[in-house]
Amino acid sequence: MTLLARDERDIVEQHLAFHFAAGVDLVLVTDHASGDGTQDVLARHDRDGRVRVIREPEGPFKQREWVTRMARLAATEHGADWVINGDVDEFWWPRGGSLPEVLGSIPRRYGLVQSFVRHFVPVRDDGRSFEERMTLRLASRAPINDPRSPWRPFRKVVHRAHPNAEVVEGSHSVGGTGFVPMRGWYPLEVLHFPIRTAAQLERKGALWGSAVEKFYASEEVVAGPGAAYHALAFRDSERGRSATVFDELVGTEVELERALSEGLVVEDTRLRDALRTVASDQPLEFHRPTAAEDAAFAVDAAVLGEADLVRVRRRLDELGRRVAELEARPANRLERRLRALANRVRREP
Amino acid sequence: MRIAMTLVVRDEADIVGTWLDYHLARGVDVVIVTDHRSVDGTSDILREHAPDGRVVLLREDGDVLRQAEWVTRMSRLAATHHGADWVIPSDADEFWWPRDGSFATALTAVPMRFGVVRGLMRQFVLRVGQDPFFERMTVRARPTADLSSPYHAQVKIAHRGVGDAVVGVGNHDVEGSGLHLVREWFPFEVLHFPIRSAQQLEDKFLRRATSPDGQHIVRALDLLARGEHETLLAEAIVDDETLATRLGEGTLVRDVRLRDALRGLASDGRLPADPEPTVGDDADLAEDAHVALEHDSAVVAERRCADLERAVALLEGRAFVASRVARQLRRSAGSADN
Repeated sequence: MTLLARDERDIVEQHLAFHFAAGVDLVLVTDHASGDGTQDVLARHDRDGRVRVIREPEGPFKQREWVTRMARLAATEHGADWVINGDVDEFWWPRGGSLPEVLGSIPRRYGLVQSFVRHFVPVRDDGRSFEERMTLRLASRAPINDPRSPWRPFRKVVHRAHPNAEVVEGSHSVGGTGFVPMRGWYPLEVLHFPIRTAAQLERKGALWGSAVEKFYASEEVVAGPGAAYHALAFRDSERGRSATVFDELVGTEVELERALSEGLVVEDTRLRDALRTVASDQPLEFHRPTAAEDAAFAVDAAVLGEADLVRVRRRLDELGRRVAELEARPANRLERRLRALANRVRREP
Repeated sequence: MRIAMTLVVRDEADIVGTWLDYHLARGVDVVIVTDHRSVDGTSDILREHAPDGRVVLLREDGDVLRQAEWVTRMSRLAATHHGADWVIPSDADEFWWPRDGSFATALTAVPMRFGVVRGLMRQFVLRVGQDPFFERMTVRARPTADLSSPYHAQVKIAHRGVGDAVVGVGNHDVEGSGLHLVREWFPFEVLHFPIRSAQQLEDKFLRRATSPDGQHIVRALDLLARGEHETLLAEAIVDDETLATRLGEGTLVRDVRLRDALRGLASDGRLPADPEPTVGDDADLAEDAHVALEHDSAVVAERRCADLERAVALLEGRAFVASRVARQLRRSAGSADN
């Protein structure tokens, strides 16, 4: 597994504990100048040999470069069979077996497997750890296509280890391998806890803003749609509004009750229970989903398909614009001009 | 929950009795059958199953096979006259296998706002011999996306019982009130035994001459018309040598589930418990689903979009090169003028 970390003290320990229990052999971490104690947690695991830390100093946030480097190192120096490019707020949940069992079952000819990201919504911060509090998962009935929303439906992929892997921002796809993705199957879920406390939201916005500003200032990069939500968090942190935004996201008891009764959020205690199991030194078990769980999962995953259609429409809109530009410079006019110029050159002595 | 299946048959005596026994034992409440001009004993087998009211018979004697029309009629009848909550349109060579034990478990799990789920075809290849088909045919092929192959990837639908259902040709899709599809889920496998003997192969395709609705049917009819029956048979059959090679390659997979279920049914009068699916079984299903989804409209749209992006990028590149060439020529023309 590869990780990018920066000041993730409230979640990094749980992240490592869960994934080791689920069957991850080694975590490669690029620690981007953490100063909140995250570096100490990582150093401790590094000494145990299960974490390899690459420390990056304060400066531009080079996500694609760093994740790609780690994915390649996993293949070339650590003998990995599969690589999961994760974030610290993501918990990769295998459906029906451990991570090695699920990934080991994938036919040889496929090298990319899709994972469905399941968003957990923020709840009131009563001082308990995030996994004890955040047991409500969003169950969208329609895709949220607003690029500024943290709840947009999306997939991530895991890939067979490959020395030329090229991991794009957000690990939504991996190039450079020639691997074919398996369609229509999500053997892994990604339990995602992006917003956990007001302080964490503020820190996330501030850090992201400063790192990315430096990055964009240093290179010619265009911000993708995923950046919009982070940019909003940055703006909120600058204006001192993070706590208010957090409270708005949490909502009132009445709103929460209504969302639960309408099925827009559902109770999901899997991570909480798993971390309790790990804390009591018991082995983790990933039971096979029941028919009802499979059906509910499929219904949620259908939202991904709908979101894909919107993405295809946007790509078609962009294509339409590019074709119009091409049409604006008619080929025949260009050809005439070229011929005239060529004749003129030929006539010259 | 009341579950109905529908069936269009014509001369399927080698399989229809087994089909009825299996699905009724699986918990299907009623089967509505349209018997199209059967003369090989199929009609007698159907009548033998009819007395307890679980098999309802309709007869068609016209020349032309009106498959979609008859299936649609039966789907509606199932809803309006037989109280079906769900209807599964099927063929006699399709054995529906619920992945979680029973039809009711899978269908009860479907949220009310959805009305259609899909079964994924699993293509069992022809192994010759004198035994019943389910004893011989215990190997299935990885499906192909080539629609002219008899073993091409396909999906079939099951839908809630509604009075205005319209089932498409081949039972691959359905429209009607509230019939929204759960796309990303295959709660059923459809164990498919399309070619069971040389004679049945020829009869099967010749019967479809009045409604050749499928590339594999058109191709088979062409071959038969040219007298190339052997070619058609050779493509379908798997001999011992091929079997060993392809099992090793993973392009054939041994699958004895139906054989074991039917043996159990014959000896105990009820189906044995299904083997519990493993993660490996899920991956095996996903591999076939991957091929079936090759023709899914969302996948096709995404692929065409990517093709267009490449084509436009190429055109943009050419336009860019052309404008640079033009600039250079203009510059050299200018320097020649000086």
